[in-house]
Amino acid sequence: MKCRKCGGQAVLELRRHNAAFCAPDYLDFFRKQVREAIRRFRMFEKDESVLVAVSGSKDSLGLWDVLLGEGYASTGLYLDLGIFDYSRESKAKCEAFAAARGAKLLVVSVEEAVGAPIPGVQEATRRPPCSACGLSKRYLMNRAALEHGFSVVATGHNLDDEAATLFGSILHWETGSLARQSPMLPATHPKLVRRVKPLFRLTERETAAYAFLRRIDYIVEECPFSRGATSLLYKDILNRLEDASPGAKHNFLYGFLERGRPVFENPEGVQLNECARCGQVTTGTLCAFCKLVDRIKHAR
Amino acid sequence: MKVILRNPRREVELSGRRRVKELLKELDILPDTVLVIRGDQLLTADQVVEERDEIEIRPAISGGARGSSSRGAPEAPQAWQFEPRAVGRAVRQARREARPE
Repeated sequence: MKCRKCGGQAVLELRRHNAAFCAPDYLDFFRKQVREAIRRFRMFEKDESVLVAVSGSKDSLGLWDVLLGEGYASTGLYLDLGIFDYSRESKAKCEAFAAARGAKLLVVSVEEAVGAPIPGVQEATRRPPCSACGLSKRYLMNRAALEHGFSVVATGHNLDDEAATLFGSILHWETGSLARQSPMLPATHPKLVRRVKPLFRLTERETAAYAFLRRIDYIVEECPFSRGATSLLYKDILNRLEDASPGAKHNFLYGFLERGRPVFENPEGVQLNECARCGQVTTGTLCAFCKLVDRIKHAR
Repeated sequence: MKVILRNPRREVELSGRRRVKELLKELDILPDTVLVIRGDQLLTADQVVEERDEIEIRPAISGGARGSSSRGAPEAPQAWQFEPRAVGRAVRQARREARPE
């Protein structure tokens, strides 16, 4: 198989682009897709400081690697979920990544913030901890960005993540989510930081290939709580579709962003208040994070 | 050929040589869900894996969260845990063959 650009030996085939690339040309292609995402969705300016949420995964470390290479001033944020070896290993990889590049890494502990590590949340609530985990991560990312003066948080969500989320939202007709899903979420409140997903144009296999070719030491093992998760089911279904019809995933996502999302957007927007206890943004009076903290406290 | 699988890490011995495309089909693995690695190189679908080679089939799919609608749902069947049944079958078959008589 030959590289589309230089004609040399290809290391990766991208059927959805009807292309194959050698290693250096693939890395160029990857960076170009990230630049395009940043430009088209006005994610951030060259002079802005970006807080990159890193988990030790191929996506988040790959993202940070690209942003550093492109010359963006970026600080990493690692959220320690306290999930046994998985958290220990993933934190170590983030620290090693940052140290090797002379980059700054902030670490926030979920246990300190919420009153229990994620396994403790699972015990206390007797439910899968995924909902509490996602809620805590979003809350703590926003809070860390505000506290350290960042105007934007970038996460490593890729095309597969976004397509699977979209698929789930449509299956259940979650019109609220459909109105809000986007690679760039603007700051709609002084206490809400802009959130961007610069890798949204790239599939998981593509981000994995980038991380591998860049010799990034990322965590391959999965979160132990993610077994049997619905998002993995959706990804599997979409990958079967993609196998039969290359380009299906990106057509699905891009088509939604261009023609689908506008149909669901609510012109009035949503009423945003400040939490009576912590001051963070909420649609109610007490934010979901503070409610979670209370639930944990009462369970102990 | 020695095939290393991940999540959890296992090794399978398969006899003969195959193209990557054929190997993935045999193991019922969708090509878009993995990286196929030999040493420090990525292999494309058309490349041949020799009998003496050692390769890793590394899953590229990560992440997971139970949707709100799955609250109280029964444990999800195997198909969308980390790998297809064919991989498990291949591992069990290889172990049976490796067992001394």
